[in-house]
Amino acid sequence: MLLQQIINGLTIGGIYALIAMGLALVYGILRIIHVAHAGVYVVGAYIGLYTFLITHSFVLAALASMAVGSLFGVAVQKFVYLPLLKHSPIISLIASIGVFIATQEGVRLIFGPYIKSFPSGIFDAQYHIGGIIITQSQLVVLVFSVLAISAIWFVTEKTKFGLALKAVSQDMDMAESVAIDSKKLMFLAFAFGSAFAGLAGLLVGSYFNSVYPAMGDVPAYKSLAIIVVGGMSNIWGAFWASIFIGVLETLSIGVFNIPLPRDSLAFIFMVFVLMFKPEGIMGLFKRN
Amino acid sequence: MGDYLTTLLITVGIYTILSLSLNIIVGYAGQISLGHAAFWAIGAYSFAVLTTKYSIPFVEAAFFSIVITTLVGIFLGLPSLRVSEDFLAITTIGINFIVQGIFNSFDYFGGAMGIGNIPFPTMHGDMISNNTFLFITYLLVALTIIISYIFKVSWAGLASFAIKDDELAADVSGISPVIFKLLSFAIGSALAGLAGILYASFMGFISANDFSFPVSVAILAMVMVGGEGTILGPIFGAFLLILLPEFFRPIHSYRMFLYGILLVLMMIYQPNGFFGKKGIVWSMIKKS
Amino acid sequence: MEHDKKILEVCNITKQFGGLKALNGIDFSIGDGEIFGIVGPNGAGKTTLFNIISGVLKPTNGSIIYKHKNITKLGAYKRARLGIGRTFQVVRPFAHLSVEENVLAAYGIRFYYNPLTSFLKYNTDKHKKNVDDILKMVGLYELKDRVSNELPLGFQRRLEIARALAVNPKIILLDESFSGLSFSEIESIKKLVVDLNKRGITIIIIEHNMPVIMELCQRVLVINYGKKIALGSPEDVVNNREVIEAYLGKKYN
Repeated sequence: MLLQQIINGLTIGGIYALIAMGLALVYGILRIIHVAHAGVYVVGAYIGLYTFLITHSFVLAALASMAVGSLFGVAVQKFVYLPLLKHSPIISLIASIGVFIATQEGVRLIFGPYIKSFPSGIFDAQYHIGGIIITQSQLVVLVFSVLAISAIWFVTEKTKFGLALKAVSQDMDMAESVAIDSKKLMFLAFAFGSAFAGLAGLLVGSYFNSVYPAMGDVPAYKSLAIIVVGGMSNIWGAFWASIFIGVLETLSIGVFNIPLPRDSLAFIFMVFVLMFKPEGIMGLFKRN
Repeated sequence: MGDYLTTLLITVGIYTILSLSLNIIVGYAGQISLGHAAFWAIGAYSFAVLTTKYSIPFVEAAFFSIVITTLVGIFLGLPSLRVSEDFLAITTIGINFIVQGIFNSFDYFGGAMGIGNIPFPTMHGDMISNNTFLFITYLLVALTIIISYIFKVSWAGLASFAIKDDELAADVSGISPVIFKLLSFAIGSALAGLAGILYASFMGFISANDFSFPVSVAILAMVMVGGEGTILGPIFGAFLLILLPEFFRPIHSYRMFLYGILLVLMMIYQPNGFFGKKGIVWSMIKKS
Repeated sequence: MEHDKKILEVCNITKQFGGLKALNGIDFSIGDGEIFGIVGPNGAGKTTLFNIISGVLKPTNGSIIYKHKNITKLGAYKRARLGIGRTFQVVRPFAHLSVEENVLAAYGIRFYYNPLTSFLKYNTDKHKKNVDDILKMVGLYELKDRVSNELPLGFQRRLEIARALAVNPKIILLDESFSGLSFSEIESIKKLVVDLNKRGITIIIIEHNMPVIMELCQRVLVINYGKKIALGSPEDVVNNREVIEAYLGKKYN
């Protein structure tokens, strides 16, 4: 039972990670609290769903979600954040919330307010391993999350782009001294981070088999709590925090029966982190 | 006056108090708060609990509610002493979710059912008319304006503006960031508590959903769209954002979409708000 | 010059940032009315020392004694109220306030410190006149209504001095107040420093411009890698072997 809950938690945590890592990456580059990231997620869910309905291929759906998510993220960066860089962060935060509201509402106006589902029976199979049941949709989420996170790991740790990202997120001056084109980097960061938010939208949509305009509400703010726990611009901090909070949430409902709403747990945990470890959980096992 | 108009004007009045009170925290002391609805909620719930559960008379209950909200406001303002701007934005979002979660989950606060039968003000044993309530509301709006004005032109205001511009420079100039940040949180939340009492008493029924995170966003939007740090700006913002949707009733379905777009466009083209520096309205006033 | 009355004693100050010792056992004292210089190569720990004296940072070890009182645990704003004013190497005016408001904000701590009295009107004629006097002294009177972030660097440096003066200081810490300025601006700030000193204000200067130090200071402290390497009259210090190595070694290696 406990193991089952942990597997369920890891599934949720993996999806959180796809959203939160992109958010941490964007924060590292622009120091913007990118609430509209969850708008990318909603758009990704719809694009993925419709691509799937047309092509019946989940892989194509995933690619479409990532591509459109990417485009959408880049557009937000170019038309909203770039003109606001010189102002205080509160201005871009509000603009970001505006983009998020307009995106969800735009989606609602185009696709209607009702919950849309994937065709029945596509991921209904169940696998029994030991005493644990893994549904096919869960397996899909796990496989795609692992693939995506491996891709993020490769790009951020093994490529020049990843190095540049780290340089900029740690120190703008240092980035300048190694002659990184910051505009190009911002573009790439948004394109890259948004692709995974788009994918996360599709994965959540298929996992819970429901795609609806307001589906971004909870991830929008929960992912903020997650990056605080992870240390704001720390991508791997965001990863571990996502996994941790995913499991914590599932356990709190399934095992501990905590009376508070599940979605406020991330924030409560965040408050604890702020009180005792304001630099994020990665400070707990710092290497250097 | 018709009931519809009276209700609308009372709503505008309550939101004016809210936006002016948030303006003291954001516009004067420069502390981002995206959780102002939480203070509003604490005022409303304190009043509701004191009157319905403990039968405390109206005026006394109102007084204690403001005291409670002020104390909680100072307590919840404490993170602002420790964390930087972006953390504070996310922390205050968290405060909103947690406070709403607590009111929503605990039976003491009525749980998901909310609290009903909150008393309306009486005079000589009779309930006052809605128009009298309207009058009282605007007396309190006037009081809020006076407090905002006194704060703004006093040395406390100057000290807050100095902290907003450069906390470290203020500190070495003898201005305690601790005292003046907490002072702004205290006054800002006291006034939000006042708005909460008005709301609870006017509606007669409150539930946690009345104070959700989007409400905090709306209050902050009023401050920013009008012009943070000014007094006319937040008043204008409250009128605009409450009345505008009323005019858009025929295209009701597009309302939220337009609201999102408005926030984005305002931040890009009028980042200091209509009444702020370089704001359209302010420029017109200066010209004439 | 001997000063029998000590105003500030820096006792065995050590400051550790992670694994790095930014300051290591710094020890000196400053006499009342002195003009005291602190020099050293970039990264030597000079600004860290100012941050510890002004209360922006707390030392890892050691104590700061001001007028025979241990102030090591006091916050920056409390030290300012006791009479320690400072400027910053990278200027930090209250950017959106006018020149006059910048000074009034600091000036107000003398009268409105208490949260209750802070709601009183601050720009009374009497206060404004006193602030005007400060502005005249630093040569900013004509610019008093200008928004401070629109001023050129030289005037922003003066504004920081004016703001430090507003707290009614006994000591002013000037952190490279001469850097980035033209020759004539340097001359006028030099004159200002001498004037302030004549009014009985003790002055501590961090500066790279050695001629300025030589001309103004009665004593100079040299630090390198967080350690005191020399302390004495400007003439003694420039002839000190270790000092020459610290500077020249760096330059010619």
